[in-house]
Amino acid sequence: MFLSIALCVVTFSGCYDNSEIEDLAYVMAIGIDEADSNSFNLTFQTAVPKSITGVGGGGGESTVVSSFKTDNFLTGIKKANEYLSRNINLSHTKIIVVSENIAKKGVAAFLSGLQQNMEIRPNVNIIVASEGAKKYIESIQPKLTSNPSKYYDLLFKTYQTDFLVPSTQLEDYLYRAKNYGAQPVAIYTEIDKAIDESKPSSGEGDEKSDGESKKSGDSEKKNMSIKGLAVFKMDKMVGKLGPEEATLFALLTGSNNNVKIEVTDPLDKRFKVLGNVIKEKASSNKVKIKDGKPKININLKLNIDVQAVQSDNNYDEPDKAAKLKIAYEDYLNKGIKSLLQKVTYKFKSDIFGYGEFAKQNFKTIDQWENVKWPEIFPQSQYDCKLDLKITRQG
Amino acid sequence: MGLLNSIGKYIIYKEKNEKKSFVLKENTDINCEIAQNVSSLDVFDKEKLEGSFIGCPVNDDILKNNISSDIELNKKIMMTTYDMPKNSDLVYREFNITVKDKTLKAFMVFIDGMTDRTVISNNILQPLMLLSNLEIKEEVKDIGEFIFNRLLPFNQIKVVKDYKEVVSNINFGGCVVFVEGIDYAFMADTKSWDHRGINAPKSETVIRGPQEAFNEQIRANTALLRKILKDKDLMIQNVSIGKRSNTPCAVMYIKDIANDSLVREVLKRVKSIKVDYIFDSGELEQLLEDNTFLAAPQILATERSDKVALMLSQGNVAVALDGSPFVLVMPATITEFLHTTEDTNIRYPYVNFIRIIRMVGIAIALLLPGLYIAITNYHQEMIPTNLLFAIEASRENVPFPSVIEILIMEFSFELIREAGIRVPGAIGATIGIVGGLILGQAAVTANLVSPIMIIVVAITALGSFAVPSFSMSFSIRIMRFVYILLGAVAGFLGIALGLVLNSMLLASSKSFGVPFLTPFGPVTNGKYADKLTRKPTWKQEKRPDYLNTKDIKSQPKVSRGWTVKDSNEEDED
Amino acid sequence: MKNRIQFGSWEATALMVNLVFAHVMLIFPRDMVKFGGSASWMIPIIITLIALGYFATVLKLYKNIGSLDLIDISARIGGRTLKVIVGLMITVFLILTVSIFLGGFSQTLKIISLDKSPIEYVEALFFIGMIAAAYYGIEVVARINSFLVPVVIIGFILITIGVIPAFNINNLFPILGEGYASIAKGSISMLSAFASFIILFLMVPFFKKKYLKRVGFSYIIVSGLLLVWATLSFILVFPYEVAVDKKIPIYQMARHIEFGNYVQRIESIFVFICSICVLLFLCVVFTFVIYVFTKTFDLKKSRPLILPMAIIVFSLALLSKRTNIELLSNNSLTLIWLTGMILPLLLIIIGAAKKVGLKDKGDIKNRQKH
Repeated sequence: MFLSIALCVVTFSGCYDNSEIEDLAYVMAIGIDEADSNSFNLTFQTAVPKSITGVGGGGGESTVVSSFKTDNFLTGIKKANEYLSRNINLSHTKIIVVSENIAKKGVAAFLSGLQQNMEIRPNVNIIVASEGAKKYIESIQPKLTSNPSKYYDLLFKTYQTDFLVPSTQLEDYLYRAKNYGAQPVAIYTEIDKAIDESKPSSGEGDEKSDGESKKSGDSEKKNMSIKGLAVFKMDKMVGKLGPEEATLFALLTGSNNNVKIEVTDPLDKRFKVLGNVIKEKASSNKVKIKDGKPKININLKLNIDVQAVQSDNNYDEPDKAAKLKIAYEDYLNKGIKSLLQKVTYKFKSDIFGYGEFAKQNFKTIDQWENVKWPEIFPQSQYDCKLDLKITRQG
Repeated sequence: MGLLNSIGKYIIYKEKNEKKSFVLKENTDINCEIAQNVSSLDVFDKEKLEGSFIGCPVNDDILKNNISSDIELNKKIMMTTYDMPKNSDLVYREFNITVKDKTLKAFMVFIDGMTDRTVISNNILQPLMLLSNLEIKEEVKDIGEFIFNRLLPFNQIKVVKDYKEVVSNINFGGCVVFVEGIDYAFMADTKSWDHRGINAPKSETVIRGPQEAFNEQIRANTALLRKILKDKDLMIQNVSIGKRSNTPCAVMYIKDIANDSLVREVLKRVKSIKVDYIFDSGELEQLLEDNTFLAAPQILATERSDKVALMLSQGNVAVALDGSPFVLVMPATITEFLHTTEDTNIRYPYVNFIRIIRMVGIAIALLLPGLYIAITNYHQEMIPTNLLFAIEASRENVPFPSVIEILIMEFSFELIREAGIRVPGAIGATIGIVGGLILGQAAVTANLVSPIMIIVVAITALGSFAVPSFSMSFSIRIMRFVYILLGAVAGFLGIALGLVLNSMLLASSKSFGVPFLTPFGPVTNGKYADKLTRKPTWKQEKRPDYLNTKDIKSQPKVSRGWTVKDSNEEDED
Repeated sequence: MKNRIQFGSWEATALMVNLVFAHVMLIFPRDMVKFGGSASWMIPIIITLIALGYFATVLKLYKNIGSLDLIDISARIGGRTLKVIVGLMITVFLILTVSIFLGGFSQTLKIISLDKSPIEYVEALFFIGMIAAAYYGIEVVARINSFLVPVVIIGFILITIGVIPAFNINNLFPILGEGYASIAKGSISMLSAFASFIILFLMVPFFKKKYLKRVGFSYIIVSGLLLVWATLSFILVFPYEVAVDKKIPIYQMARHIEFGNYVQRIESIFVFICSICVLLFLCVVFTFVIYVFTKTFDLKKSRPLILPMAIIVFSLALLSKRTNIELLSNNSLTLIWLTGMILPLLLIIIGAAKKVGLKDKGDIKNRQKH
């Protein structure tokens, strides 16, 4: 009998981890802003389940955004716990937003602390916001659904055809930030003046022009949108890529085989032709090291499906198709060359991951580490071959 | 006057009549031998014991004696054994027999209501009273033999020599005739009483298959089996259980398939049961099984005749008890409890589909509440985000933690199930709807439980109905509660621990020498084709080899003759 | 008749595979990467080949021994004293194995899900399982292994298949990883995964002699395949720099499974599978502890032994928390693991030399391991 009492005591005292589902607060987005010297502002966007699902009388905001000033991550979480009177659970976080200032100073310290935490998913996206993380999070208003997590999921899946790449996810980002083989990238967002939302119905202009930079001091909520990619070297931000460059980047690194590129119509300079570029599996990259300098051969086999022609030119006829092909080739060649030069010579950061390919030349890890890839990368030479085929989509 | 009387009732005190109350006295042991000679005792003892000889139970020693030729003694013994004038449904009929000009006195005893009156009158009394006068052209050496051979034209007559047999036969619907001068009696089996006919099975219904179930008559049950099997090697051995009730019980097996040692073990166990009365095969099951405290059953009880026939043909042994429509089949392993007879009757794709659904249903019935508790309390990251919010929103206002909530729901569901059995027929259907929908809905609106919980409990209940065997579903219901507790204590680790412990418990139990988890536990060789999924009927070539039957092959390799090309056939044109 | 424990070859194979598989679940891929870098997938292949050679040698020697297990062999060689010594050594070795694993796995589980519970509580749950297993005996444990282990392995394979989209061939380069020396060193110390050979030789009297060959070879081949596949998929998913830091390799791998919007984060299935696997492992080894102890000292009843042994194991398992040494992957402990392979080999060589299983004396062939 004594044994059974002891057993009961042991059993029921152990339910420490038994936490009811409604006692937890689920954080959707984390933001990091700079504050004075060593501290930073931590922003949490927490979901309010009741207003999301509408059960038991919806209404009200579907998320709660709160900021805490702290100098390390754990204190921030504790403060959030006190404020929200529920335990914070990070297992459903979808994005981490970092302000551009912090990105330029170096992000690794914050992010490593996050990664050790078992709760965070390894495919959390990292976003660099030019205006600051808190403003970005506040400006995100779910437009078509009331559920913020669905909004985030769909956001990143919709953009998948453009230039969202796996390398902006937490796991890859941290790996690249610490090693020599490749360098990390993150998503870059800015205020987009081209988007205009009118109140009753949501009509949006879809054109993206080159967004202007910061416009601070504005009391209205501005709409932020994804503008391109931020380029890092180790863990500091060194530059950014615009949308077209980011599209080409995605094409080169092969994470998205399907991008939409538009070129000026060769027969009519006023209009554009939109095509769907598919990279075939036969494309390859080869890296060779000669005399301590890398020589990179890029071989792209592309299939272009013409999707929309603004002018009414009929590109089925062979001579017109040839002209279109030349137009595309020009565009792609120029774009890729300028991108490669910008990244290699200006930013000096190997975001394409050619270092990984270079590893094939070495037999052991020691040899590879002796080479010190980040130092020889800026001296690399490129040899780019394009092989295009245009098909017309019915 | 009347008014005065009624006023008087309230004013004048009238003594109430005392009601005599009954006190249950302890049983005093009466020494029967002293009571027999009551007249020779002195006054005080005489008073006490007077008249108690009548109440003295007949000593069973008397019954061990053989029947004497003195008819008066027989008469006296029968009268005292049955306490005849008092015991109103025992009939005592005296009559005379004339054999070759000799008149013999005779009497017969039977129980009214258990015997067929017409048969007794026509086939026993009539010939004895009338036909004994006819001229029989035969030498009469022995009167008894003459009576037995010629005068009793009835198809089941036995000669009995001692009173014990006489008494037990009369108790079961026989009719006994005593004749003067013969030291044995004739017993005729004239059983007939009102009983239920052969109906459709109440608890195990199938769509494709015969609809004949056993009833309470042991002869009808064995007849059903004989009718299906038509095998000359089907043995039906009779054993009588119960010291006082003498209930007949039949042990059935097929002689050249079933294993000898198995048959011997079953017979040994059945014969060694010592009880006073036995009423139902449920009691018999509890007296025969290996392990009383195990949550899983070890003997299969079924109402369907085709299931018993199928299992007999595979080498099992069946035990039927008179008075119970459930026949016990042993040994029983886990696969028997998860298969129905319909599985043999329907086509290959349907069988496997139904089997898969059944397996999933059983897994759900056992594990779903436990898994739900484990996931929502410990592993919240597994749930898709939208579902998580839905659950959280619906649980906002519920006052209990989810473990208590699910225990309440499960408990009330078991209560509804138990109560639903006894609800009278007309209201039964409505209670189902009332209990399920309206009460559930009311509970949700009152914020006592959350709607997710109701769905979980409802699906679990559905899953538990998918189990074909009644006793197995009980064991699953019990184990489900243990899994809920384990899930609440330690999440997935608790559930894993529960699974391992459960498997160990099941794997260590044996049913008549066969481990319970065959064919998964000891992986048996041989092409036993009916474990989880079932191979087509023409592939079921061997009997299950854990039974160690004498004849392992039940079909040759090619059981469909038409598939073999006939070499003589002309296939031109 | 009742005391004779018998089980078939499938059960024995499943039991042995589970013993190796528990290593895989916990620490094996990470240790491999520590030694081999990006070429660590070669190490399991080398280990498997060594084990195959070892077993083939032992099998030839076993022809002279018949159907005896280690304790009987030692009894025949050196009489009662040697039997007691060997039995005690084996018991101590197995107890150490159980304690180390119990401690290691409880730590792992604490990191993943049961964060705030005290470690004694987590261990207590395994404790219950182990005691129940020892109570029921080896035969029951073998039986449940035979159908639970395939489930565990299928779950593991599904996890590794689910991360195929995240495979990156470039992670295999540079081809030779850390270099020949490191790979060789890794092979020797990683041989500890096969430390459970000692249990195979203890189980010999339980199944028919002709199955020994079948059980041994299928066990080595299956475990070898599992090891190679686990390391390969691990390396393909994580580049070697990251891989060394991963505390729980398979778990981290499982976190990458993602199909569409809703099948995400099912890595808790890993917790489930791992719990079953480690529970079975602990049950098996603990049951053998009791069995060996009983057999060594020729005790009649083994039930009273269970509780004291379990308490010893429990206290030893807490040792790792006190002394802050991570016992599971400590390199110096690999020597202890290797006892599991060397000790039986020595005994079998001597036993074969003395022909303990046969009555007649023929030529004595003495084979030495190279």
